[in-house]
Amino acid sequence: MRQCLTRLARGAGDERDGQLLDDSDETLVRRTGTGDREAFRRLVERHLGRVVAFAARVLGSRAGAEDVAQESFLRLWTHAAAWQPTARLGTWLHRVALNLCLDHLGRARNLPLDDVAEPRDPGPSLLARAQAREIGAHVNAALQELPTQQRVAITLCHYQGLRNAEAAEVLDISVEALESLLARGRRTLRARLRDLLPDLLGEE
Amino acid sequence: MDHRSPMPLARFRALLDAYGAQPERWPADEREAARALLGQSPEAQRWRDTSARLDTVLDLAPPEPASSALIERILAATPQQPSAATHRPAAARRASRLTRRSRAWRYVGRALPLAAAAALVLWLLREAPQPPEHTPVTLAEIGSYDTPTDVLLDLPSIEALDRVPTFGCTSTGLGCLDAGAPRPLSHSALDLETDA
Repeated sequence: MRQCLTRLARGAGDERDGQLLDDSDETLVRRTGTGDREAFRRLVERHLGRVVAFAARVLGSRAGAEDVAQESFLRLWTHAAAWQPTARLGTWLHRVALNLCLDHLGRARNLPLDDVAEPRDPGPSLLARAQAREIGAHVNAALQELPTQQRVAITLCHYQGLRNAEAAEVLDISVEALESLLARGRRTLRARLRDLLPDLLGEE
Repeated sequence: MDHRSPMPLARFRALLDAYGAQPERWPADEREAARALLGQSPEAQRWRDTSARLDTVLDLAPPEPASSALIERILAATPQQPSAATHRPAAARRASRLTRRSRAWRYVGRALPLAAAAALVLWLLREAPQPPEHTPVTLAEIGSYDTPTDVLLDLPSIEALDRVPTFGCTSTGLGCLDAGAPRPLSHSALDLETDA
């Protein structure tokens, strides 16, 4: 009897240790669904940077990206109990963030024209300096001028490092359609940036 | 696709156009074939270098970092517990569904006998014999009877044998109580006769 109790106690301890050691997304989401705020904090710390980066590229606005990230994680908190691990958490977060970004862009389009910032004109002096930060600003500006789907496709595959099937899932399109978006987007970016950065992209 | 054989040039070009020059961004199942082509095609290498320059420029746009305060802002904005209405644990939702189902069956169990009883009452009412539309008195008034005797025979309150004269019956063994002597008619029968 005593041996049985000892074995049971040891088994329970292992299970507790296992929960503490297992910090996979799936486990943390399951714990989050029970109201475990520490598990939720770890998920936020793990994924926040990528969600903010993604939303910032789609929106072209850091403030908007932080709002989208906050809302995305709030949805994770409230939906964690119903979470079905059919997709990676990262893919799910990208999809939620994309929907929020599209809502945000839709509202921005409805604003009066005076409230929308004009695209920045890089100017000749910027081209001459060609410093990394300025080039980055050019790239971001060119990205913002792309059609939304092309911008999202390039952000997901090039910047966020999602596999093609995952990016297609986020966009709810086929892999073939994703490749078409990517190719058109990159072609447009090359054409626009070649004019601004002839020394980097001038040669074919 | 056979991973040991090189990829066709056209597909390699499409791969570069879509995913850029970094092999880790190419689809995993095509990576080996693309590398095989790169190893033997100068044209593929030239395309790869051109594509790599665009990758380099794109990588000069660093990602926006998340502010350190954002984590605390998010944690502060979340409610203490996930919403009980829509985000309870799956087991709790299943238990709740079962409770609702059993409660519904209890209601059905109570309602069924009541409904059956109501249906039975309605059926009995429908089948109950209806009173005749016309009493014998009324029928006599409208001329449906040939003689006053017919009226008496049809009255349910009158025993016909008691009221009808027993002409021709002389044997008490056959139930002729007062053979040969006509019995007086009841008062009501007289009234009928008078009315008729």
